Amino acid sequence: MLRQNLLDQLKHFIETVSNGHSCPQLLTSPNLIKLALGFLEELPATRDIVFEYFALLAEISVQLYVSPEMADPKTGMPVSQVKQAGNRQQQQRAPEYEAFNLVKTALQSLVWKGPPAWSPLIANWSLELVAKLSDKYTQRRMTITASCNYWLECSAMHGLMTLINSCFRKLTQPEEEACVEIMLNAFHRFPMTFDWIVARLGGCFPYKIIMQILQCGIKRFVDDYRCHLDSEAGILDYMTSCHEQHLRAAFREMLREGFAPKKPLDVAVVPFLLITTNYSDTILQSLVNVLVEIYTEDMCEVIVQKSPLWLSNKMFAGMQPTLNNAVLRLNERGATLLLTAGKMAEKYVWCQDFLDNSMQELEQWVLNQRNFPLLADLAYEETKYMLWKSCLSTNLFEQQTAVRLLLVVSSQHPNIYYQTISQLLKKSYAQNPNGIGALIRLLGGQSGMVNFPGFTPGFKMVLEDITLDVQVNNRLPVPPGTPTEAFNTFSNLNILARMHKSKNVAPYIKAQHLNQALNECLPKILQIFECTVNKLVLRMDRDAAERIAEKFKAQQSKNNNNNNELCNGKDYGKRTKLEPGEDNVDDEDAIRMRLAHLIVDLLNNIEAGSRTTVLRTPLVLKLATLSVKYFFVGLTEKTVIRRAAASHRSYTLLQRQCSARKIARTVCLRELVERALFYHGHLLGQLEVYQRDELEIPEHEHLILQNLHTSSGANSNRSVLHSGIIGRGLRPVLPPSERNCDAEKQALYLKALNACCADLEKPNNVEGYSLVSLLLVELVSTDVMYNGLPFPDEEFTRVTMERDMLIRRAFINSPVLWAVLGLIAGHRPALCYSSVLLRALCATCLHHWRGKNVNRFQPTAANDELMLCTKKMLQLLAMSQLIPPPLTNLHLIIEHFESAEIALLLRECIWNYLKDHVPSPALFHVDNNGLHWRNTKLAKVPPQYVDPLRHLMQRKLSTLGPHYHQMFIMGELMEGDSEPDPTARLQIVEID
Amino acid sequence: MSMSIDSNKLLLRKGEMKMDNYPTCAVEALTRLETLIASRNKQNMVMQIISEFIFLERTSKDGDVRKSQALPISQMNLFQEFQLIIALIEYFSRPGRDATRNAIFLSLFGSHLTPQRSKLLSRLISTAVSGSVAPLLSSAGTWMQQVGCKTPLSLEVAQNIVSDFISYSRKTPEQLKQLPMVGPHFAANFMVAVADLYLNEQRSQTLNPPPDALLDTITEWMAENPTLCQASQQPLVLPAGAIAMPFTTPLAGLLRWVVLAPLVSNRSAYSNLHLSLLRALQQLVSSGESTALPSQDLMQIVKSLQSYCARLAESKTDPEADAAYQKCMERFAQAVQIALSSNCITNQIQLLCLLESLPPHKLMKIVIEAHKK
Repeated sequence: MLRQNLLDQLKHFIETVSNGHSCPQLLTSPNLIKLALGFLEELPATRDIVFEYFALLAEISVQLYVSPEMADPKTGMPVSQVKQAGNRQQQQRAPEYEAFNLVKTALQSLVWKGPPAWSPLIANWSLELVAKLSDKYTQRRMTITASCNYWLECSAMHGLMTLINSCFRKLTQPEEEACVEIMLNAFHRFPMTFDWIVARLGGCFPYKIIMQILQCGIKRFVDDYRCHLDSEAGILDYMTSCHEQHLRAAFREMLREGFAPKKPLDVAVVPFLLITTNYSDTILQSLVNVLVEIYTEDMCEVIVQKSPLWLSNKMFAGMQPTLNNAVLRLNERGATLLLTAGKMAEKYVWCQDFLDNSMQELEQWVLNQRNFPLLADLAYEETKYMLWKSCLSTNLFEQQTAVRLLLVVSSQHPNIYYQTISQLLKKSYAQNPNGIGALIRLLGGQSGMVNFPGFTPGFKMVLEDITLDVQVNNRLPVPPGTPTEAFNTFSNLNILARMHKSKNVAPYIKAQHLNQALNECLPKILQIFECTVNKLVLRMDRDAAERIAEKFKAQQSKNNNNNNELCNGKDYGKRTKLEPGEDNVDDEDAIRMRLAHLIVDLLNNIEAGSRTTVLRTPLVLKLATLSVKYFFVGLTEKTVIRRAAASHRSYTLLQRQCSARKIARTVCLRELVERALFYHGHLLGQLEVYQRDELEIPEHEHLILQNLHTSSGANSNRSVLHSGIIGRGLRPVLPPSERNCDAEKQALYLKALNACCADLEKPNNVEGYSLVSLLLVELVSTDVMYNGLPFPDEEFTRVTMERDMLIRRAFINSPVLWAVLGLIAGHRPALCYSSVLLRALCATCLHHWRGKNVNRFQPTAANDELMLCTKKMLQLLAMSQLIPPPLTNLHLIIEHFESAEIALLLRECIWNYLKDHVPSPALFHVDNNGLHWRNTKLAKVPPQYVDPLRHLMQRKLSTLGPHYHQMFIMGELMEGDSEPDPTARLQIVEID
Repeated sequence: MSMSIDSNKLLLRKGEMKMDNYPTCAVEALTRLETLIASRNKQNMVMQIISEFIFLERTSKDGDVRKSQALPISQMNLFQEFQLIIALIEYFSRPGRDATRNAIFLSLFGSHLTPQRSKLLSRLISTAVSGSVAPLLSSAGTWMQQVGCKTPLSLEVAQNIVSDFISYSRKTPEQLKQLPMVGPHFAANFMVAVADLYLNEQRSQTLNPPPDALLDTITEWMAENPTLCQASQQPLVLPAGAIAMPFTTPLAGLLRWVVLAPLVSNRSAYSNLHLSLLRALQQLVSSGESTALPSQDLMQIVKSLQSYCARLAESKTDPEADAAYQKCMERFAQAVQIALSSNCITNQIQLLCLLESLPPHKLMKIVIEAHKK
């Protein structure tokens, strides 16, 4: 019964289907479909006809999909979700449209769960069906992606593709190959409409498909070189998105054959691949990737050798221009390609042509602000590094290519521009000056670009880096002698600035731009400078302190004469230990010192702090302070020449700022004076004081305790104030011979002061010197009282004696003060403001000479401190015209007098004169040039100030004769023309 | 006579225009054939009618004898094919004489068929199996024997049935399992053909084991129907004057399966099949047929074993140490012993000599020595 039933069903099925072509409703009834599906199991012989029926169902669905009645009235696109979206008529037909889904589900379950024999069967059937339907119902040519989108919207097509995909996963190796075969056959039959299917399904066995497609293409290409390869390229393009690896492998394989042709087809490989690349950017990209990957020098040879083979081929003829814009279409490796071409350009002219064309086009595009894929490549991190490397190449083509590429990318990515500038600045160009060329070209920017980024941020960037580097100071270990990045940067900036100064070099860079940019970076430069100089200053001070400590220790042990050997032994041990470390440190310091020089050079080159640039006050102050610090640091250089060079740098620096801004001058001078007196006096021969002497005193031996002990005993009325410390011997005092003042350094120092004070525009302006003078008063005088100009009664000096002694002490400690005063004295009336210092010197000398009266028989040593001091003071007064002519020579003869006489002279001639003629600017007459001058002829010295001297000299005429003549007779002779003084002459006669 | 042909044709043409209502004209043609087939002289016309009205074949030019030698092309589409299949099944299901039916079947499907006809034949038989159409299967069994069970045509049919019911089927359908009951003759011939398809070194380089489902089915058949192998020995019902072709039993082929199976598989089904085979051989004694196991078939087994031993020698393995080979020989020896004792081996001496040439095996040695005397 059942069997009979089955046959009846079959009969019914056959009748319905064979009559139902005109009536889709009948065909798509679910019962019929279920029946057909049942047959697959129950009546296997009907397999073929059942599948034919399914194909009919699919076709009905596709027919509906493409028919206008199923289109969305608004968009004109097919309605895919008929049930929800369609109108009534469409919804009525929905079951027909969806009928195939039932089949799809059933077949899919067969594929997944059924015996393996089904997979190839269903796969083949579906493939054939899809090919047929797609060919039959494609109305117009579409791109592959469009086709995919269009057809996969159709439920039947989508179902079929799904089926094929599921089948493919179940296939065995030989079955797969058969399927590929079928697919490609279908492709050959319908190349226009089957491509999307190949592309879509190619993903299941990508390599095979890609290789086959390429082979198909090359065959067609060989037959007719003008053929259109759209389909092939389309498929490859589509598949590349997911299977680029396979495409590359295929290319690799083909190129291998192409470069070593064996078959006649191989000759066409290279032209064919080049042609194919014109169709799609992604293919081009893959090919280039492969080429770059396998490229070697040898391969280049092979290409050159084989090129006639391709050139002679007529297919190759019209291809060169297409190659040129190829680079622009690359997403990655474009830069690599161009650089490689650049490397070869020396050897092959065509490379130059290629480069020229490509670069020109590239720059054209940039000018037109068009976007192109290569830009993305250029903006990659790796590319950037590669380009930087190439910028330093000795090969000019390569280098120029790299620079141009960087310029191109810079127009869109300013940050790359800045980074590049920063990088190039950090490199050393000692070996290869090409690099600096690249830098200059780069700074020139892209000609014609409107919004090309400026280079100032680049400078700022590099300076920021260096600041960190200098501040943190934990650089990676580098081989000794390698210039640091900071050094390189500043030396490069210097080169640039210098070039720009000389004006005929580097026409690319607009002159004011560079200067302006660097001046904008001044805060950063100063930060670095500050860091460097401060470290140097610290180091210098520490060295000085150590040196002094050592000296004093030696001195002390010499004084005490104990533990001599032990100490020495210790010392030697220490020194040997320290040496290697010190070497390193010295080296580092030397580097730092050179850096400091470079920075100052740069500052001079860009004329930092000049009047033309606008600076904020803190910056001005900083620059001033640093300039002074640098000057002092410069004094520690090892050789005379270097010291001079460093000093000259700082003079320029100081002079520029001081003449530009008053505040700068104030600060510079204050710093100069203050540092010379208090911080770096040791450089200028300051009396060295051992700071840590007292540290060695144990607590119970402190003076105050000792005083307590002794205050109760027999000696309680005596102080324990000694010149030494009990148990430790005398305070160490360096022998005076070592207290020499370094004349060279002092000269440099004075020049520095002069540079600050001198006014280039008004040479006779003494404002600066006055300032120094006032500063001296402020810094040397310890009291705020009685600092005025007038000299009081000599009696009054008792009040100020303590202060005066201290001032005197300052002069002893810092001999440079004399020199400074000397400088000031030369620029009248600046010294007037230091009246208090002169007064103190004068007063103390007076007192000391008076004190000497007590033991008058003690001879005065020639270079006794008191005598020297007196002489210098007199000299100063004379130089500054504070004392009138006959007295001006006093310093020459003073040593010939006794202490009492000296005391007398000082009191009568100097003190009293000054008391009556207050040393003030009012004494001076200003001439037309603004020069201060005191006409001594008009200011006749009253005799009461001169006579004591005259008398004393007359007593010692034998030794002081010539002086007397010069001082009195000559003067009076000259005056005598108008008003002779007979008494004077008489007295001379008397003495004779 | 020519008149009658023409009149017949005319009748057909008049009655039902073939193109318009296809299956009807085929059915009509079949009934006509019944009468025509009896007379021997009208063979030519029978063929023409079959070609024209049943298979809708058209030679490129009607009447051109030389060109008709070339394969005729059928106009049928798949649906018409199935209409014909249904018609044929219906026709064969009708009560009627077996001889006539067999004659018509043989006329429809001779020994040389166009690919299309052979395809149709395969589908027809497959449908008949699915539908358990006993009469048609019986005719098909006859056809198979007449054509020869190991001819390409029969093998194609067998192969088709295997793929329909085994490869493309999730579980073995009942219809196939019951085939020995429905059409024992066909089943036996089918077994002969199928046995030839697998584990046969003459067909393929390697030994292809049969699909598991097929093996299970056949094992089941053999176990449940011990006499199945003798079904092919039933006399054929043929029209008068026709010569019955010699029958073949599936025993030889299946014996090859079980003997060679250890080399490629260790399924227990083979052991069961072996047992069934041995039983079947034993039963042959009563029937007294001596051609059940042609010695060529057995020699084929020996050859396969020899080549296996050669391969063993290449890999320096002693056949005595090779378990698979030992198992083969054991089964072979048992079968030979029973076959010899039931005297159903042709050319015994030759076989024994050949067996001796194989690497020695204990049981086999005993068997050989026992029968050499």
